[in-house]
Amino acid sequence: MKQIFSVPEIHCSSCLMLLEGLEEDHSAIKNVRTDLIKKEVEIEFDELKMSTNEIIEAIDEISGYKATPNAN
Amino acid sequence: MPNIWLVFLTGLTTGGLSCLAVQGGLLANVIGNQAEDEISSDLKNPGQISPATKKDLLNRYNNIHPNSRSAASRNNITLSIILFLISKIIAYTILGFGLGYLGTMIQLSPIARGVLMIAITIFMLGTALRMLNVHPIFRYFQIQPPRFVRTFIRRLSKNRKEDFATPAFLGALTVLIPCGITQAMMALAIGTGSPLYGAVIMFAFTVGASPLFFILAYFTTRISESLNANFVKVVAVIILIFALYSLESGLNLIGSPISYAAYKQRLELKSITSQNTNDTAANQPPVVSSEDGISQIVTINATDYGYEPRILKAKANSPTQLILVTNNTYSCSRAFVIPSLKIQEVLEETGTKTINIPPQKPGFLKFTCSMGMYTGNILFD
Repeated sequence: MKQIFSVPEIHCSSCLMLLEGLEEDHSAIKNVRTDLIKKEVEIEFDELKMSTNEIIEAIDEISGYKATPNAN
Repeated sequence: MPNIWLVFLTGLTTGGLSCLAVQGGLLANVIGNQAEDEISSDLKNPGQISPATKKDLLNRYNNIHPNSRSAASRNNITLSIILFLISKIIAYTILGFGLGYLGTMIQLSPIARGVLMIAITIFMLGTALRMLNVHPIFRYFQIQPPRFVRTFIRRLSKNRKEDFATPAFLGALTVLIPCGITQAMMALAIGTGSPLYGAVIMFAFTVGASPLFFILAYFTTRISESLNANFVKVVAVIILIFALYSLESGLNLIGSPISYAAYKQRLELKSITSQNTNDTAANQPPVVSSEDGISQIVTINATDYGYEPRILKAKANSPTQLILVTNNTYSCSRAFVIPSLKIQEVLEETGTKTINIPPQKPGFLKFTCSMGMYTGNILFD
């Protein structure tokens, strides 16, 4: 499934770089698209292997940022 | 040219923190890999480490006071950071040279230079307002490297090979991911219109930023969010100061009557004019050195600190020979410009240069350096 997360603390290219690294660290994450202007990250992941909460934890782990899922 | 000390101090106080946010993560990865290798060698099955275990290992590693790390590991980390910083300084100095060169290509006339300085002002204002979160529209005021560049840099930082080429290469690659204040400095470097000055600006800034960067990277300290939020405001204010500086240069270069220098000179001219109505020869500006009826000679000394005198008087409707004198002058005052007459001269470090000015109507003729920072006026009456 695809889920957009709002990450207000995104502020530079390095943040994007860190978040894009999620797809290398977690096999359940298939694709990560970041948006510096909207301060959002769209994550395509296998919901059978990873829950939305686990994604939020993974974002916190890699960047220290708090993410909230946008309502679809 | 902006004050190099100001640029250096900006780097020293804010550059290290600001750039650490962007570039520290990369270095932390390299150091982290070293840490992982060191700790995982103690484990039975080092092999593939899960991200959670990796985080735990890194936390354990970071909690160890550097003094208790092994001497070899301490040396490796120090060397990695130093190599990272040296190559970063070299890369940014080269970048500054290139940006200054780019500036010379854009800056064909004083007016074009003025317009460029005003464009730089807008970029800086946008950057500062973005940092202050004034409106989402200001988020467009930042340079964003394409994704493939980010992927390349990230993968490189995860390189597990134990060599020192990785931190050095990463340091150089940070030119591709400049942080906010660095982007402001890059804009300043373009504005100098000189490869040498551009290089000096970027060198001073990155050298200034290095000590704090080193300390934070060595202790792998993470700045708390609240401190970071306050710190960003300080950086934004500093960028605003540089923006005002660029605006002043730009306004002077396009010969605008609205600028701080123009305001100050109007006050000075006012006092000279009022003195002249009260007194006669005693208050004549001393720089009008001779007059032969056909042409008048006016002398200006271009010094490291600007032009002396900054206000001169000459007769209107009479041709004027302007003599520019330099004596071991190394500042940008050597690049002499009269915007309204489209006169541009680059003076020797020591010497004289004569410029013929056609007869002028009564009024002020403004002159400035090519950066718009040193200015003056000839009052024709």
